[in-house]
Amino acid sequence: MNNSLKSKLLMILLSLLFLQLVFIPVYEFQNTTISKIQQNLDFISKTNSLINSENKIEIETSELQRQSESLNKYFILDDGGYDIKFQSYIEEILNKYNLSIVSKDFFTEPLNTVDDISTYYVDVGVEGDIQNLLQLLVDLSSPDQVPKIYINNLDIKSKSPKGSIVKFRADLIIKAFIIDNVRVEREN
Amino acid sequence: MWREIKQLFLSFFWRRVVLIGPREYQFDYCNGNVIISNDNNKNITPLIGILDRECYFETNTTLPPVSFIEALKLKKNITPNSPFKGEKISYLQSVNSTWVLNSSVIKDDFQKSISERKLKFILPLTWLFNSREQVSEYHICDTEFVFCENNNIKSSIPINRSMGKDHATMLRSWLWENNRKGIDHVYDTDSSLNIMASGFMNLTKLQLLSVMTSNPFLTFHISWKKIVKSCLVIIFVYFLFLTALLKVSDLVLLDKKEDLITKANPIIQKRNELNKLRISYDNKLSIVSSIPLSWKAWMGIVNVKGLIIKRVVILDNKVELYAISRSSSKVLSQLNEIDDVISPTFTKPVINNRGLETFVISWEFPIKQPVIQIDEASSNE
Repeated sequence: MNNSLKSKLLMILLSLLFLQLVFIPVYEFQNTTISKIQQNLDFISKTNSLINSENKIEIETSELQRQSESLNKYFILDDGGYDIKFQSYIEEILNKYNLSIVSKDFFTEPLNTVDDISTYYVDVGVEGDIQNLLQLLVDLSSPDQVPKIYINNLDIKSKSPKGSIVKFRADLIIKAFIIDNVRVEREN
Repeated sequence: MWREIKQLFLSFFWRRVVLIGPREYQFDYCNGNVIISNDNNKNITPLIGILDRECYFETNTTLPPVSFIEALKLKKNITPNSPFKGEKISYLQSVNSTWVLNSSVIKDDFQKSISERKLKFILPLTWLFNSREQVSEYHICDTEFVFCENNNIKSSIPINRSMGKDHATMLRSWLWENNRKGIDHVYDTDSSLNIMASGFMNLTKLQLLSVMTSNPFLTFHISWKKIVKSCLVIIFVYFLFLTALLKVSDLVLLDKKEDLITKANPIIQKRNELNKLRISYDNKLSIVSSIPLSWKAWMGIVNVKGLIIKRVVILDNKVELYAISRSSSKVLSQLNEIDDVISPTFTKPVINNRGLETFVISWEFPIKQPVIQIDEASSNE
């Protein structure tokens, strides 16, 4: 093997080593760096957009807070005595419509809790005129009736076994929503 | 145009190579002989030829028939009658059994100018071409030839080895012709050179420069090897440059990113609070809006005539009506005509007792109507 051939083979070997040890790692480094640059550019673009929208966020937060506060009137605020507050509120409403409470079973555990708003219910036995009950149902559906309660279940029977249900006795399951007043004040 | 661009481009990469060249020369003129060697040794010196007659004075003196030792002594003592001061160089030439002393004086100013370029050795070109035994066109290839003006180096012509022969011949013929006018002893018996010289004899120095620089001989001869090498160099430099650029960009962006994160943190908190508020608001709105309109359950009861209601059970949006009537089918048909009564059906068999029918009908009623609708559009922004 002459020197020229040896030189050529050595050159080819060096070229391959260069490719393997220098070119390919650097090429991969370039690709990785380009990906990182692209990610950083996207991030910077989004962050700039976020920074520019600061005023919009503040305005929207303020507006949404106002609207959210306006919804609080539909809930019974829990400031430590929600059960008494809830029961007295029910009694007040039923008395207003001349419906006598014959039994009352207040469930101390909430039916469910979503975002600090708990749903409570009370099982009440009442007696009275059907007209008053109907008026109560209609009034409860009015937007002016706050805090909101509604009669979820109703089992109504005639008080007289032979007559119709003009005078009735009924079991009502009444639901209401109680919101954590501490949180409300914190939000405000 | 392409040629100029190519020259400009290539000269950027090869200028030093062309000007300096791989060939270097050792001159030894002290003993009266011009010896040129391209062997590598410690006295390597670039060869420089001076074209301008204004920069050097050249003369020759025929010595009396003396021995070489005596001629050397005479050489030291004879001072050329130069019109200007400068560095003297001379050598002895044997002509027809006598010695001819060829002397040149390089102008001090020009010598200084040459020295500034760190060129150590200067030789009038006529010496080269008068000493054809030692110097050929081949030897002047890869050599820089200096033109001067007002004792300063004005420009130079590099002679590339690959095209140098023709080029050197042209240069040589020009020198021969011009030197013949000024120096009596110039002799050349090469008839082909004489013929060739006629084409160049009347050219001025600048014209010669112009001819040579526009001469295709001077075009850079680029071999494929050089092109491949240069491409590899360019690619490699570009590769390194791109890598460095990417890394710098990455670092710059990283700094900017960190700055932005610092700026954006309070805003991100505000945005998170806004999102929480949205969720909370949506929940509240959803709860309030889903409160059933329970009075609708009674639409099917209060609007039906001709029955005695015994029991009503309302569970979620379902109503069960226990009642007595003369015709249960008429009750059913009345219920079917009421808007808020959905799919009324008998859930138990109808019992007929002495003309009165006891029955149970159940149906559904719509319960979900939004109680409030406040600015839903703005809350969804």
